[in-house]
Amino acid sequence: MNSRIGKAKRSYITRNVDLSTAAQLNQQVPVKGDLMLARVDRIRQHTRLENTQGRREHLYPGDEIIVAASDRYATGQFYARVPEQLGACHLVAAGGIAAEVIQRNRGIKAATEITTLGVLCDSQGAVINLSRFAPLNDVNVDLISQKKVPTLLVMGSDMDSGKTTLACAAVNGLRQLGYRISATKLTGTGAGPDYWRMHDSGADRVVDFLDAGFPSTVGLEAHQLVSLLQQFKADAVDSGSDILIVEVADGILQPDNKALLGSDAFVNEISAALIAADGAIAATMTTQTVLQAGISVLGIGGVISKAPLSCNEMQESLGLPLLGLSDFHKDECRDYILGSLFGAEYYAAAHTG
Amino acid sequence: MPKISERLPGAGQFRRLIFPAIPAMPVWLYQPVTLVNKQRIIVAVHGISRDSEEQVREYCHLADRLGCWLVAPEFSAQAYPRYQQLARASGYPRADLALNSFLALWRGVVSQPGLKMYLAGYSGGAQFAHRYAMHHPQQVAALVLSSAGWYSFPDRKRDYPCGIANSVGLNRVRLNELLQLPMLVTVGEQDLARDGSLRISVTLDQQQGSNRFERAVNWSQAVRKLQLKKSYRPVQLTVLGGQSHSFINNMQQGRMAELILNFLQQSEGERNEKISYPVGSGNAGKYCRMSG
Repeated sequence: MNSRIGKAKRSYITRNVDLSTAAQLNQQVPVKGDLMLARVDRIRQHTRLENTQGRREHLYPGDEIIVAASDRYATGQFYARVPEQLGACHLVAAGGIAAEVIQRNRGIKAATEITTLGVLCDSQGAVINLSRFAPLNDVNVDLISQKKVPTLLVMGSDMDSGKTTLACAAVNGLRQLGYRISATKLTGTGAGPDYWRMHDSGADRVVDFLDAGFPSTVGLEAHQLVSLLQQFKADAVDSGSDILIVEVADGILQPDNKALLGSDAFVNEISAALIAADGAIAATMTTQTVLQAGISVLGIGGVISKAPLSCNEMQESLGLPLLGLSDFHKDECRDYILGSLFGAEYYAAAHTG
Repeated sequence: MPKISERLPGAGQFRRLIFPAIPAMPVWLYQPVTLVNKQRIIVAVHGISRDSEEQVREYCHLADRLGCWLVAPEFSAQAYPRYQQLARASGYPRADLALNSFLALWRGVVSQPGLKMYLAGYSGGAQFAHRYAMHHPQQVAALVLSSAGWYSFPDRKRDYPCGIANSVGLNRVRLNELLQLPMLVTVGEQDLARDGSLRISVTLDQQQGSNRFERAVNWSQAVRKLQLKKSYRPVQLTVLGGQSHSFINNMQQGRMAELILNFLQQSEGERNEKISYPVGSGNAGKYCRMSG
């Protein structure tokens, strides 16, 4: 069995898992987070599987892969749910999510077809679920009462609106001033690109929901996401970070995000927000929604920043700063963000000695 | 947390509110008895006394006449120590962005994406208002500046805030768009005191004049000159006969409220019309006097 597991292509989503504990395959119905051995049947949308180091390995029919059962909600790709049984299903994310597709975006191919062969179990027969490998669960959440970490939310109008690019620009700009940054992704589907990109931007610490044992956050209640955010905060304190940057996947109309913005507990955890949008209307509606939720908005960036006319329209309707990627390397922009996060007096005192 | 719409004052009433997204800038909101003009909101900005309630009490009659909402933001000395110049320095809270956050939020609350404001300010509030309008003219439908202590002149060779060059940390100055706004400047005929609330320096006196009256005249002339060059409607300067530096007295005895109401009503009719005012025409450089 160990030899078979060792030969299988291991997906990104298993990055925290000790696979040496896998001793047998069980034929029970999988639940969210269960690891499974699967066989690739037909290559379609996802032609490659991201491994735990971030490399995307090409897939071939007959390959055996290790994936996790989970839901997915991605307007640009698939809406999919945990398989109701072992057998034929789909690879719905390159990070290693196995699910049954309910809907797909017409702009992409059908999902790569796989067959799940069994659920991974340890020698005792206990299912290996991602929740067993959650380093954030070891962090003392009480730490957050000892130190308040300014928390900058990055919220977007939709999938692919430039949230991660914006978040990473903020990380990089503030990091260059010497601030220690925790970059995090609160919601979404387990996938490496954003995680690695946050590392590349210079973040001192990068964690996501996978580090709390969730393959995806689809369907989590707002209070569960608030608890997750508090784990991120405690981890940021634990790792000595000065600022926590939190990216939320998808857009403001995504059901989980709507619930999140309606949660006072969530709003109270946030210091301010940056908005990523792909157009003027999207920027306006997203900003208004976030403001009405009770969160200060510092500026707007993302895909819209590439289109000068859209920026003009946005300026007309919002009058809030447009934050292009290069702005985060300018003192006036960084002063503005840091002053907003730390309080002007504190910030000014820190910078005048 | 109750919805914003549930916290708003009823018709003919005002209320002080703090929106959680803009915690440092409380606002006094007044809903007109009859809401007619949903595309506009009056924004009345206090002076150095930072008395927003006074602004609401005086402007609520205008809001009723114009049939639009009224808001008086509160820029506290602690949160916005130099709101008159939009921000104290780089890294300090920006009063202009706080107001823009409110407007963005408000447009969503009232479902009016094209809403613009009638921006009015008295004394320090007029300083804020004209500097705000220089940086965000697209948010303003008409501008009323009353008895400012001093101004940012439309001079690109002079640094901000005396001129408009190098306004570091702020949005770029959009002078041409500012010049197209309907503008009313008022000042008391007797607003001549060089008291503790008036910024005084040799340089400022030389550039702008030695008191609020002279400074209002000089700024209006500088702006008018540029407007006439481009055939834009020139700023209207009105001197309040017998009036000194008092918001309440100016509004009530000096008939400033009536003047502003007429100006705003007229500005809607003439808005965005390009009127030909040739340089050197009869009215250029002059102002009218209003008897109290």
